Amino acid sequence: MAWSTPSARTTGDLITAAIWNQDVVDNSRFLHDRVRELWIPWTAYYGSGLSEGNVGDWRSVAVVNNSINHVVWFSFCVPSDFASLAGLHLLVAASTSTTYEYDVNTDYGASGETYNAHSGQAVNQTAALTANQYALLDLSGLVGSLSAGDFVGLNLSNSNGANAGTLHVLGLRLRYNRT
Amino acid sequence: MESILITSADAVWINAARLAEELESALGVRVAIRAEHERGILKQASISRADGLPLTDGQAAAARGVVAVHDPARPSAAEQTAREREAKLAAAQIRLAQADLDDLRRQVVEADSVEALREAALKLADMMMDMLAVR
Repeated sequence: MAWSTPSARTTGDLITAAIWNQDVVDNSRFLHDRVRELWIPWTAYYGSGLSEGNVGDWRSVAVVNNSINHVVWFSFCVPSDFASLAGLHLLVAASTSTTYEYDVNTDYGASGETYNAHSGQAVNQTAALTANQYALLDLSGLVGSLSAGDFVGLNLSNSNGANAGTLHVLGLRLRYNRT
Repeated sequence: MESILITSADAVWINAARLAEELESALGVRVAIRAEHERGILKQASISRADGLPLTDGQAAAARGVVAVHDPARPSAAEQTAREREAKLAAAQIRLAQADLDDLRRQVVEADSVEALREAALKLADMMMDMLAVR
């Protein structure tokens, strides 16, 4: 349903059902049904030789593909108006064109649950990346039980792959449908 | 087949990193795993070849055999390395917290022999290494 910019009405204007539905009902629906987005910057990183640096005007963590235990962490809370997941993607940019190998682990749950009430693991995933281009790694399949109010911890690490390359980790994007 | 799916009927829970190592060892190819657990119970996991090629019937059968004897309590090599690194880091932090800098300074200033100075220098070097480890 597309947005229709309502016309200003004045006293005495006839408001038909069609006008009411377009201006009020359909537009309200449009506003409600838009997919919401939450941007989550990285919060911490750890690993021998792992460092943060600049990629253009971004501040990134440079995870080296064939290194050992380079880990970048994210954490966030799922908004209270979350109804269903529309997508969870990690934004990265590779320093060289390569097939990058990575692992992702996540634990999440609500207050009162154990920290790993739900967990997702992705091991030895691959992504064909082009140098210096933004790329989104799809992590949606790891958080199938996500609910409003869940607290989420997630980390990305290199999986000691064979291909040389550096992955600039930029941030995480949650897209969701509202209640 | 492209991949195999396993559920809690195959394994109550898995350590995907460890299982990937076990599968690579058994199949001779690197495998990718995606797994979801709910309250400690495996919901579903998919196992495929990391190079994108399909698993052969033989590889799929072998993979199921590996899953059947998988011990998720054993850490993966990467997890073991991370644990050892964490332990070393914690030890370095403890040593630094307990370091007596005044005493070390006194040892350097009051060293009356090459041997005493050498000992103080070595202590200083150890401290520097700890500082590098925790920076």
